[in-house]
Amino acid sequence: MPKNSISLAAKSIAVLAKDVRCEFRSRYAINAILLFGVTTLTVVSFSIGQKSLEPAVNSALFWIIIFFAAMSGLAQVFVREEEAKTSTILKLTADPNAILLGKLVFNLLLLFLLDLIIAPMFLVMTDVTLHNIWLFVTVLFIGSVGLAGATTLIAAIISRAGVKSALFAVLSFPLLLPLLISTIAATTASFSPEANQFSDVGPELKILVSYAVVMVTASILLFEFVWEE
Amino acid sequence: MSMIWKGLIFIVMCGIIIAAFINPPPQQALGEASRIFYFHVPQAWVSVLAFVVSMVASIRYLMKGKMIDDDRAKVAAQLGLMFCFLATITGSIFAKATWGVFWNWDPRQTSILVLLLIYGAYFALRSALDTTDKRARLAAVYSIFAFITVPFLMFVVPRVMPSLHPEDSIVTKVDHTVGSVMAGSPAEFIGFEPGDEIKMVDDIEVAGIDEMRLFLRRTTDSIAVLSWERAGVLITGEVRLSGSGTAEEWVGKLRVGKIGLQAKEEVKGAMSRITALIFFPSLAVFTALFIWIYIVAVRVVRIERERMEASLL
Repeated sequence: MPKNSISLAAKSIAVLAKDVRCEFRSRYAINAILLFGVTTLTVVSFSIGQKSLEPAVNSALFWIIIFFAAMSGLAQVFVREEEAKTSTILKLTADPNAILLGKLVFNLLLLFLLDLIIAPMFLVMTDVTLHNIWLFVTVLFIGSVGLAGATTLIAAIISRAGVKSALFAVLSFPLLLPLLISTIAATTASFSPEANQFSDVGPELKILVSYAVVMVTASILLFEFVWEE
Repeated sequence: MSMIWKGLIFIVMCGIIIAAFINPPPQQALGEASRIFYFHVPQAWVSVLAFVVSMVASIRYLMKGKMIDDDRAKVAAQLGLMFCFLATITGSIFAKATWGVFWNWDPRQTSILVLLLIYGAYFALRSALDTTDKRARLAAVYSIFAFITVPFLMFVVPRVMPSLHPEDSIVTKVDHTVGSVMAGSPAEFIGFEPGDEIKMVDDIEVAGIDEMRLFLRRTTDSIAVLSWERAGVLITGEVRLSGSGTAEEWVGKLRVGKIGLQAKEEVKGAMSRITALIFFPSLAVFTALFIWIYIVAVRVVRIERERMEASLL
């Protein structure tokens, strides 16, 4: 079958399937990210104790947990290739765009799994009342897309740098600041008794969507330069 | 030729420093401290210019793959980081003089800090990579990727914290006049006596600012503070303005920095001629300084790199 007849989507899914299979052999990234998230959440919940905090503080804590948990595991998808020395094979056999998209979706799935576990636990373990669940879920969804979109390329960069995850948070944080500010503001709204409708955080949601689109597009354009030898 | 440039930059720089101190400060309202304007603004401008040069060089490197573009990107980023650092320092000195604190997460301060973080990370990444072409490529990708997020930041941050930064007020047709020093009690909150001629009206979070401006233009005013609260250096108060001759009233929220009402009023014409005569040469000489260091440093870096390549061969 000629190479071009397979669509980009099919190739990306093939990369994704390979990564999921590899992940379930070791479960390193899943374990790292989930346990880091749960540990941080426990520490936060324990140190808050019985105190009830302002919505703004709660939402900041929530996103700090998500951010650092993400930092602990999202680099793995590229670092794994370097550690197993399979990156050259991958380079020869797959289209760079498919590799990036496959790994981006893999990271996104990992983040959704994290959200799925951390968010309910956070709501249970801290004294937060969720006033607008759909807003909360939407922000979590778009925020995760932006987070995965911005950090997958950084993961590729640091895997090439040989220093592994030490640099990951340092390189990612300045890029993620606009995302974090917006998600924290929108999540605060969903925790608040008033002004918790979608229209109240319209600008934040617009920023989040455009941020995700811009970062994914820029990743696709720049990935080729990171990946080529 | 290089000698002439160096000498010229030196002489003009000295002239500007002297002129900045012997002439009246550019903004009477902000006091003697506003002389820092002649140095702070050009530094910020040069750092932005340097980062743009670095970006362009990075893009050129990715397109053409010539090492000289990587040298350019690196030198420009180094200079940008240096001037960015200087602008941060001079800015926070000025913040201490006018806002009362060195750091209060003003949008300008936040965005300049993020620029410092981005380029700090850029050099951390460079130092982590050993082979030259890999370093050049990954650093270029990172600087482009990071720079893309800066416009988002410009839009996002002011939503969290309104700016007290004197905008481009010195350059445009706006002037600041400081009301009074702010102290702890509501009585001193505004600091105006009833019947004072008030020329203020600020850009800072005044609900219904246009009504208030109109009101102040029409009447002789007295100001009553209904309630106030303080968060850091910002004081938010609810005030009632009433005209002594009329039954009209204006009630609204006023949010001011620690030093008081930074009032903005339109003044005739642009900045004063003497200010312009010092400011624009200062801008020019800082830019010239950047270009001169940039050219020399790129040459040095290139020679070093070529020597190293030769020794490896």
